[in-house]
Amino acid sequence: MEEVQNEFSLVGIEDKSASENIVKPALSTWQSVWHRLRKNKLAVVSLVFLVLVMLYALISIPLVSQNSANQFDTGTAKYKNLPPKSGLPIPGWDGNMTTPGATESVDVYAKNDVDQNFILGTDNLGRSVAKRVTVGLRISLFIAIVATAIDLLIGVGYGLISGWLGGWVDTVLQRVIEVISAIPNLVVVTLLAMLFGSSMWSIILAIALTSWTGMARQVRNLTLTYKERDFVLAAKTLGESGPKIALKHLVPNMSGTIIVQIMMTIPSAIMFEAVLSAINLGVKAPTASLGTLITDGQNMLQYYPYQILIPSVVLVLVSLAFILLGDGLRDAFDPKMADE
Amino acid sequence: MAKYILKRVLILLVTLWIVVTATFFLMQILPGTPYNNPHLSASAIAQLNQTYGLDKPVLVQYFDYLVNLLHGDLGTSYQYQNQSVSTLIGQRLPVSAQLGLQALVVGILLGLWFGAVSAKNQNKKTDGFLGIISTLGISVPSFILAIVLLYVFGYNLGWLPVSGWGDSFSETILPTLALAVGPAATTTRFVRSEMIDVLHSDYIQLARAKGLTGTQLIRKHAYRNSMIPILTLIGPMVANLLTGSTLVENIFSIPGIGQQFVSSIPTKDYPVIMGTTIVYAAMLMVCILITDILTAIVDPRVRLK
Amino acid sequence: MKRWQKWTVAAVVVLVAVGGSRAAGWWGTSPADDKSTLNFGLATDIQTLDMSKATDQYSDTILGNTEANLLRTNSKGDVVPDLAKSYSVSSDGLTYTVQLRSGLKWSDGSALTAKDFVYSWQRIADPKTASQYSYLTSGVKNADDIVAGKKPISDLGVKADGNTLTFTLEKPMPQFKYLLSFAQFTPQKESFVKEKGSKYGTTAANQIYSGAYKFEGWNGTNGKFKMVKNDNYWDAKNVKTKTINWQVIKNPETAIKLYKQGKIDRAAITNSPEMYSANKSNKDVVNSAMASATYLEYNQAKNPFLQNEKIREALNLATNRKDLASQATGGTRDAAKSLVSNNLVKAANGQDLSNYVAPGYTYDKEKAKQLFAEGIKEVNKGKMSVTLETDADSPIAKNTVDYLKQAYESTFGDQISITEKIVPFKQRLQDSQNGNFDIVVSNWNGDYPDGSTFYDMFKATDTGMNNGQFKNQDYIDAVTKAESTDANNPSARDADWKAAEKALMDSANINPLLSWKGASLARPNVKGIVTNPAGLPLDVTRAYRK
Repeated sequence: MEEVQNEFSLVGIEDKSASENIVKPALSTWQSVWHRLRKNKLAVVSLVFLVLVMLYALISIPLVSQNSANQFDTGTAKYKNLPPKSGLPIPGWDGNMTTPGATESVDVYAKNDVDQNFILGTDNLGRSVAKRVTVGLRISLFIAIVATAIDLLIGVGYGLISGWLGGWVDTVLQRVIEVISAIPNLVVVTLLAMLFGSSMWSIILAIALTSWTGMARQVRNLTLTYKERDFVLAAKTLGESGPKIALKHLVPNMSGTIIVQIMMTIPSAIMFEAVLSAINLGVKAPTASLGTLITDGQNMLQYYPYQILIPSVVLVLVSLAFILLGDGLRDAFDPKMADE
Repeated sequence: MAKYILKRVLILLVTLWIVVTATFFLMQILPGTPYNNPHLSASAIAQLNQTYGLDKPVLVQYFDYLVNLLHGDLGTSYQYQNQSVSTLIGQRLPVSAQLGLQALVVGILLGLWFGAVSAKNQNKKTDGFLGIISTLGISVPSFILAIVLLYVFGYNLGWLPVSGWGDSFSETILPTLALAVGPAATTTRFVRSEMIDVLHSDYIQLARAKGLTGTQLIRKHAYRNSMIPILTLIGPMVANLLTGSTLVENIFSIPGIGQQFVSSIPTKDYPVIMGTTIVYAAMLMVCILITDILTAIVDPRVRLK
Repeated sequence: MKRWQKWTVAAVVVLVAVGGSRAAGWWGTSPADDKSTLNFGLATDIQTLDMSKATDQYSDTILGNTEANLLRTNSKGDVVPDLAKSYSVSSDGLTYTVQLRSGLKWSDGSALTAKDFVYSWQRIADPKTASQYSYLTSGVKNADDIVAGKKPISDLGVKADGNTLTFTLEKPMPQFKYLLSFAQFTPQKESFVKEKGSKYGTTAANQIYSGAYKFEGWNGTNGKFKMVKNDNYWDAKNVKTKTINWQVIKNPETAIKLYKQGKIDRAAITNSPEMYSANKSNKDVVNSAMASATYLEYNQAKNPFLQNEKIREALNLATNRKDLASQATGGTRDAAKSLVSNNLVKAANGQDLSNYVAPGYTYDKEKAKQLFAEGIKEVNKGKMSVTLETDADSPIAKNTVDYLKQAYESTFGDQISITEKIVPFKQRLQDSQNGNFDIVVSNWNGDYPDGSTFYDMFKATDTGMNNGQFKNQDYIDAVTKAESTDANNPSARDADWKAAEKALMDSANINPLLSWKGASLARPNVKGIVTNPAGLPLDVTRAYRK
């Protein structure tokens, strides 16, 4: 879509509301965004959910260490593949299941003589799924957020330079983006992951190096628009330097677009991490990420479906929340929505 | 128009050349050799290098590759002995293309329908429901969906075939559905917002005033005007389909280029990886070019720069 | 909108009904009842039909069932004449003389002669062919020099005279008869190879068949193909099945599903421990022997910790092979007793070779701790940090390294730290060969039923298999003795293998972990399938449905 916006421009009146009068009391941008976002129930729920998820991920760092999620008892098989058990008589969450090869559902905990309750069950080596998903969530979020942050730096910097300098620099930089977007992301990510080897940072780098183009395009387009606006001209006249104008005036004005873009990049980074894991280019075992948990769980689907369903549901919920929040923010930042 | 197309084609070719060059040199620095036999002695490896032309200077290899590429020759696979990469890709491309096209058509049709229903019932329950479903649709990676579909409809219910390609249409249903959900969700969201804009426009208000009812209104007026922007979606959707299809093909054992790409990664079959990359890039660029041209043709408001 | 909805609903109903009824088998009888056909799955794509260049077991499976060699392994594991009428070995073990059957024909009806065998042997040894399996010819007169490009291919010790083939060896090789059943050495027709040029073996039509079946319908990339009975095969009257259908099924779970739906007649159940435990009590399960072993290689050339014998011995003693087999692999593999796998071959005294040679690897945690502490002190470089590398070919491989990491770290506490490195198969091979590893999980499947297929691996540092780069003189002496003075004396040879195993264990040069085994769901009414522990994994040439 962005591709096309570069090539075509719409002719005619675009902004209907421009002719309308503003009668409401003046709110600061952030106040009014929050005011509008609050009305979108889904976005607020997503926001709360994401804040909780992030808090959980942070708080879990001292509580559930990566090492403890990898621990298991090599001396016994009794902890292997235990189904989720909440300790309450909830069907499907009470430690009962029909084990592969068996015909009747039994309490696997009682059968294996396990006193402990694993709230999300254990995996095929006897590791707690709850711990592994916690660590996996943390790692996937970390990968996605750091990749997005790198993305943000490259994308905004690139877009500003391209738009601000214009001319042949702009042409060259735009061609570079075109080349990069001509190769499907998966291919680029795969090639880069092969090049860097499979470590967390190489995955971050591989994802970051492919997903910044969207951000760069949007920032460039906005820069081109704002460049001609009065506030920039005023700053120029007052003798402010280019970089200063960019940081002090342009970036704050684009923050809405940038934030929305970030909300869209994070879930796609989470997804790319999962795809890389699916083709064995994910993080190193036994470290868990949502992607590796899903990939490993794939072999269990027939027998212990909870082992793939739990990380999958977590991945989908987190992505969903980011997208819904992004939608909400886009609407909230959209001046057209101001009067609704 | 002709001039515009020519210019775009030229840019496309230059872009493709850059892609080829970049991938070629990337392959040079990737670790790995084409041989998978631990018994090979140094002299045997030297011999094999000579056979594959790997003993020549890199620049010579590069120009050889370019010249061969112009003749449609993408080299010989390391993994599939003697097999030319062009044949490997050429025979698998139609399979992937059929799967991709089916998914795109099903996805867009479903998206049009859901989007219209959503827009017509704006802010009602149906709208909210479809909104969540379509957001869910873009947040579930197609390979997870493929696994779930395979498990439910293939393994447990046994309604549909679980693998293969080419014997019957029913084999294509599950993979098509897995891939179609992404485009369907994107289209739904897009059509909804486009159509809401259109429904609020003056000429629809006029039509309404003239007494047209909901369904007629949408079919006769709203659809047509919200259809055009959908064309612009096809490019990005194709890009996403390419990503999704690699894993989905693998899950359903479909002999397409995606599966080939995935299986050539662990075997370090660089000629195949490179060939696939080039073909993917060319496909994506051609798709974007075609949609741009189509948009220009159908939408008189869009002026070519 | 209403019409839209109706159409869509109708379309979905039709599709589901069509798919469902097909799956339910309403469109014809189940393939599992058709006596003229058999159906099998192949776990990966076929890579080539050029036997001189094939390197993977799936291409070999196709070639082994469509091409015939001089000899073929029967269900008892003995090699019996196939295209050969008879063969004899000279008393010094250096000359093999083979009489061909008369009137042999290729699938196109042309005559198949002794020259076609000579050509095939020369072609694989020819450096121009660049075969990765050219080393297999080693031991045949002048083969090594030809492979190295020092002598012309016509000097190879394989000669034809009318219907007689003579193989001249440089040293006695008791295992040589097995080579005469290998897919790599099946005959090739020179004129056909030359005519096809670079297209040779790239599609089913670009190959010519000497075996019980002709191969059809493979265009180089597709996943469904079949074998059709070859009426020109000498023993065609005993080939009972007309058509054998094959399809590529990459997902092992899918293969099991297709088996249960009656669409294929055999499916392996050993991909994951869970799959195994879910299916092992099924009445259709058949177990098969596999001559494959998994062992750890310690990098003794580069890693100072692993150069210390006490540390290596401590690691070996801290390996509970029985628990590893039952927990990490869920019983899909057996605990290793020695480097050589179970079921490779019987020793001269009738025992399984692996039992006979077993040097007594044990699990002793306390002794391991003590030796490790001593070793760490001797090395004097602080904490031991090593990588443990494996390839990601199956859940079992991943479980194995997870298990070992946990076992070693819980035994040796904070004196050791193990980082797992899970890489693609080829990357693992390359890292191994370049010595770019600390500890690596290696697998080896025997090429033929003879101890030398395992023991040759470590007899020098440049065999390409001795990735740990160790030199164990006792081991080398024992293996050399087995392959020279004792070559024609089976029981003395077995004793040499036993000495070699003991030398390996005493210096803890490697750590044998697991011995593989096969288990599959197999249609009970399909008879006559032969599975070989080493060599052709699945021989269906005489299989039929009862």
